[in-house]
Amino acid sequence: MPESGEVSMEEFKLMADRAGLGMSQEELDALKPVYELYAAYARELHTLSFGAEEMVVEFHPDWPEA
Amino acid sequence: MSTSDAQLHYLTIRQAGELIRKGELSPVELTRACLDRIEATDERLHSFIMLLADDALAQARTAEADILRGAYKGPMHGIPFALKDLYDTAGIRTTSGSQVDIDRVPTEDATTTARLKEAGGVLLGKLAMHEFALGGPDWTTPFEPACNPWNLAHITGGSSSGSGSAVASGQCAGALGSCTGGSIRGPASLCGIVGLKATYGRVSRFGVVTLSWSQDHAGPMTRTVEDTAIMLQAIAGHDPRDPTSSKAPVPDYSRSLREDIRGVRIGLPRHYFFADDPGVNREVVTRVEQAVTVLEGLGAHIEEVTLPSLDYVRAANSVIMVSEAFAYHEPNLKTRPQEFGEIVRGRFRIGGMLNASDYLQAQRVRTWARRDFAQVMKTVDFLVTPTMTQPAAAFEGYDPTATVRGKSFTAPFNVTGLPAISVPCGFTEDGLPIGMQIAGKPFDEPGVIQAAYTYQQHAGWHEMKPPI
Repeated sequence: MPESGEVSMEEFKLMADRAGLGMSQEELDALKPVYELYAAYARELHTLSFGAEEMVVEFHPDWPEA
Repeated sequence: MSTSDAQLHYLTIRQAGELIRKGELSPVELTRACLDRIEATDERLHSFIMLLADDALAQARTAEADILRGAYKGPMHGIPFALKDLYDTAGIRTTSGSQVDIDRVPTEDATTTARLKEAGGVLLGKLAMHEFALGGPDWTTPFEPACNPWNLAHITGGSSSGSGSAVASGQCAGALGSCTGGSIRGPASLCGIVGLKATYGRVSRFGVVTLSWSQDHAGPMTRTVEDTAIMLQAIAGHDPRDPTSSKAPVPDYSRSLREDIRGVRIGLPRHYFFADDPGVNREVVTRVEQAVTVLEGLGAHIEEVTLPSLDYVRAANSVIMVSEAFAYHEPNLKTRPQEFGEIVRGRFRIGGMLNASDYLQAQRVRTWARRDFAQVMKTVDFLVTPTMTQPAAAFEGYDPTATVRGKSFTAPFNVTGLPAISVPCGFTEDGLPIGMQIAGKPFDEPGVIQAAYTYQQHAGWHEMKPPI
């Protein structure tokens, strides 16, 4: 039974398949605990709200220098 | 200096450079001393993936001839150095520590490689590293992990593992490492040497295999702060082949080798770096507190600062790192996954499973962190922290996820791009090195170097040598 916030093995396999990784069940079993460490980091980041402000590297429609 | 001195291999770049300039030491003799040292120690240390002994001696002879005819190039001329095997070397295999690139031979040098050669440096060889600059000691990769010269049963830290062991043990006078979350400062701290991650964009990344484009830094690892200044001088500066390379002018870093921190304002983010935490070794914190006391005695003004973003930068660093790494390595991950080592294969795959909103949120946190740090750096000149949360772990029972869990004292400066140096500040009771990190404002490498140099000259930890 996944802990709160964790994905189920079925969901994890779907994520791996969607990423085109072609992982075996054995590989999925070994990797899921490490994935949960990173997923926890992602959840932590999503607790922050920056509103509508564009806070990532902006796009400037200038031609790049040759 | 007697040219028969058995400790030639422990001469600093500055010491050796001075003797070479005056004609009192031959680059060939110095190179032979390093090669002898490598022969005597590398079976135990595993610092080198590839030794280029014949090439190195040829370069040393060329350097000697050039110097004799008056074509002296500067303090790196005739100095034996080595490169993390992440740095492209023309015509010389560059593996990134991986089976994936086991036969990869670049056709041209990385910009930093070329600049060190132009400065007259003598390339001894390519150094061991954690695969693709991520992960930890991994016996599922082709190369034996490097060992810590202070205790061979302990790791060097990484990913610039061989750079740490080679410099600390006197196998080379200096080395280049790379840093995406702490891979220069970490092994520098754990191996008792100096390591500098300069401001993002200060040193070209062209020809250095990518882990995370927006967080990768190239930089020197040496036994002294002066040597770091010398190597940085040789490699810093704009490179049109690196789109993130800064055009900020390169100062004369030798002018920063002055002992003076009177009136300097040092900020201590105690809430993150010095607070009680089960994942942080109290001996490490105590030693750094003692070093801070030394800085205060030398005239620095110490004050506590608060950086709320610190609680999130570790997460931002991790998400950005594996996301960008997946983007870079995706073709090989999908066609040749078994050629990656187990640790890195897994981490890179995770990067493909995180989603766009995770990556973008991490970059938004990064913007917040930069503003947070910029605000604090209006009130202080430097931040001082322990470099690592722990001294070097033992190989036995080593947990590869240790580098993913808990706090990272180095990652904040990869996320913000600020310059940060690790300088030795003592040892644990078990004799393992501890490092102090000094971070500064963008492009204030001169200030960071001066602060580190002042501490080094008074504390003297750089004089200690490992027992190997």
